[in-house]
Amino acid sequence: MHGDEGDGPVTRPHVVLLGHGAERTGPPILLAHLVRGLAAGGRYDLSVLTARSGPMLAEYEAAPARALAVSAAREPLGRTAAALRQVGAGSAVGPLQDARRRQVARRLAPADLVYVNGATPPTADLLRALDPPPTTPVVVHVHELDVGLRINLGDEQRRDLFDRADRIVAASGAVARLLVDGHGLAPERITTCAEFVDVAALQPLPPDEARAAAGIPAGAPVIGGVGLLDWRKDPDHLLRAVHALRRSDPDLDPWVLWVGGDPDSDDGRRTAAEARRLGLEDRFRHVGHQDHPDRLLGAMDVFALPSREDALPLAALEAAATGLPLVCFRAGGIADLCDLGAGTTVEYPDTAAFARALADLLADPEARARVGSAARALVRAEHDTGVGVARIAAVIDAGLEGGRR
Amino acid sequence: MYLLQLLRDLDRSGLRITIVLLRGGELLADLQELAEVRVVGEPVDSAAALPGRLAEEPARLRARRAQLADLRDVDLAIVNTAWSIHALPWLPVPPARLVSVVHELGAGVADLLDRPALDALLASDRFVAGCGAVAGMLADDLGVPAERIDLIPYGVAQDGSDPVPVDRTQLDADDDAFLVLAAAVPDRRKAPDLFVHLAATARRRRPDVPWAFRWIGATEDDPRLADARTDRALLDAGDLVRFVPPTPALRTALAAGDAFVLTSRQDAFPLAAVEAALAGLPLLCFASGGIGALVEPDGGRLVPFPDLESMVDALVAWHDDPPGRTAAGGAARERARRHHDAADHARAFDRAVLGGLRGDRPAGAPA
Repeated sequence: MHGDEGDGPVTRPHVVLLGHGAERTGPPILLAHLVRGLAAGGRYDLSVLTARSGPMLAEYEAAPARALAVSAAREPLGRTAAALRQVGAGSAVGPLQDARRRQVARRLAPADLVYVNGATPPTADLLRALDPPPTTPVVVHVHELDVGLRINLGDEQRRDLFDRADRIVAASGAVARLLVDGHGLAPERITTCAEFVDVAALQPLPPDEARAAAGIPAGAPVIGGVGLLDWRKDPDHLLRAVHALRRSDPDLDPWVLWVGGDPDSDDGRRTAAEARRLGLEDRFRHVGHQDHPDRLLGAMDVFALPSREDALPLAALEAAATGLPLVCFRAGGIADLCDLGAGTTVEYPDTAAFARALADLLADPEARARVGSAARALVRAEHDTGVGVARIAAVIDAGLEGGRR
Repeated sequence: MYLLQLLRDLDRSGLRITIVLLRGGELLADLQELAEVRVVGEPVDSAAALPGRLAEEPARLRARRAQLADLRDVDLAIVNTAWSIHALPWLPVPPARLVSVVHELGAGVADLLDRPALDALLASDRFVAGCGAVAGMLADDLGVPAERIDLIPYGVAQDGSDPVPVDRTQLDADDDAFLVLAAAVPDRRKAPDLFVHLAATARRRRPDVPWAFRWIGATEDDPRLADARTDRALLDAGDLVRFVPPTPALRTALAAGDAFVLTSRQDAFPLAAVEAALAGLPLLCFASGGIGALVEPDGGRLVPFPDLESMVDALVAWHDDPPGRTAAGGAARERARRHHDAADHARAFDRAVLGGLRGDRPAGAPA
């Protein structure tokens, strides 16, 4: 067992957690919940190593855990890499970046267990740089679905992660099914530990206060979403569904509130243009990134998740925890939650059915309250930090006790 | 394509024509056969870093002006596409007369041009619009007086014959498939994403139909299709939707299909739809832009953007009613033949834009 470097032997196992970044997005936020939960038990020494720096590093340190990032830029040695590519020496970039990763990784004491948070190219690179001895157990926590695993990850990176992993944590049933059916992994290597949120920390504003903060009139019906504006999250599809809803049920006249992403980015401008094209510019509010998006959940009547695929997004869990009914495509883990009563699921990409599901909930306050209440109960029972951390701690403990498979 | 076809069909006698292009391309050689061409480069990206612009622009401007220094006595400048107005200040002396041929709708004009460029465009003596949607945009959104706008319907080359369909294997489709075709560059405005969703919606609604959706105009590895390819994979629609490279024989390729669909978010008047009409296909489009003049009342269906369910209604109806489909395709073809012949467009353009020019100046003088 190892503790801080050079401080002599300690009895607590040293767990090194690897992450792709430290921005305020799903997996880094979940890692913060996990690190805080593990640290609270006082049974582990914790170190976090991320590929990119970001605001979550401070939260990891506060857990407390030692927190390091390889680079403040999107990739290690960003300027050097760009310059090398410009002069046609791109082949030198990979080895130099690997060297930089190894240099940072060496600042950590040897790990008793390595926990890889996310099956992504940066985490695969970090695991390779850390190069734990063959006797050190590795746990890979997979938050990704098909786009992440099949398209974003290279074959070699996928092999590096899955072959080296002694235990695999699936972020939802959908992820576990994909790992078994789509990637041929043995079911006994996989433990499903559903994503979780800190329910007690959620503080939605009162409805009309939240609406006012978003520039929406008091009492107006609001369909909301939270997330980046990228193609996978597909806020444009929500706009198309709301457009269809307004044609089929003009009396409902809902507003659309999207929290997250940058309105001035290319994606932000694209989404704004789609809203204009659909005649929704007067009913669409995009408030951009918020450090506390939960506050604006108070403005919403229904939470929409238009993602093409999403393992089990924390934003939707937070919305459900505050009692919002959900509408999503059958394209990830939230569908399982909806099947248990937290909302409505429709087949991707059936825009008309998505619109009908939204309309049905908007038009029926009793149904909204009933489904929202079920959503709240489900999240509190199965997706609160206490439950989630305990599940993952059990996997870590099993790894520490059992060593390599 | 528009400029090339126009130059081919125009009576160029008595005119000295110089083409100033912002960039070259695959049609450059064809254009050079018809007139002298000068490629001067795109205007500097106003979003680029300021130090770079300041350092670069004076030299680029000098080079451009040097390329055009001899064009001092221009009787008529024709700006083809609103974006090309950027080249006007590079002429050593303003032209005696300026005519702008506008193909873009709102997003292509008011959103893309900065204020000085828009003002320069609006200073045109006359405007040519190829469809009512652009004419309406010029009048209603940009405040151009109606009497300065010539509405001259777009056209494509025609010889009156019916195209012989290519073998469907060239489109990677079976003979018994119900073959739905699109033809466009695969950018976001043309919406290949909605094309993939349309295919998935059609399959969900009528799984018994042997659907085949083919987008002509892009190779499978086109980087602009990365998202559409991923979506196709998520929907397990690899056989259902394919992307087919551009072909110079577009009309014969389209003739192998059963229906033509346009999922564009915005399109003034896509000439591919005219080609499809001449190939005898019924047309299915969103009710935006000017294509309605070709489609309505009986050449196909217009549906509100982005109502894919209504699009599928039309496709299913055509699948179930082959005579109705043929009748709609026939009506579209007749309308295309009557109203969208490139030769007619050139004659009308000559009358509206070039009228009097040849009489005013001796042959060989600059135009």
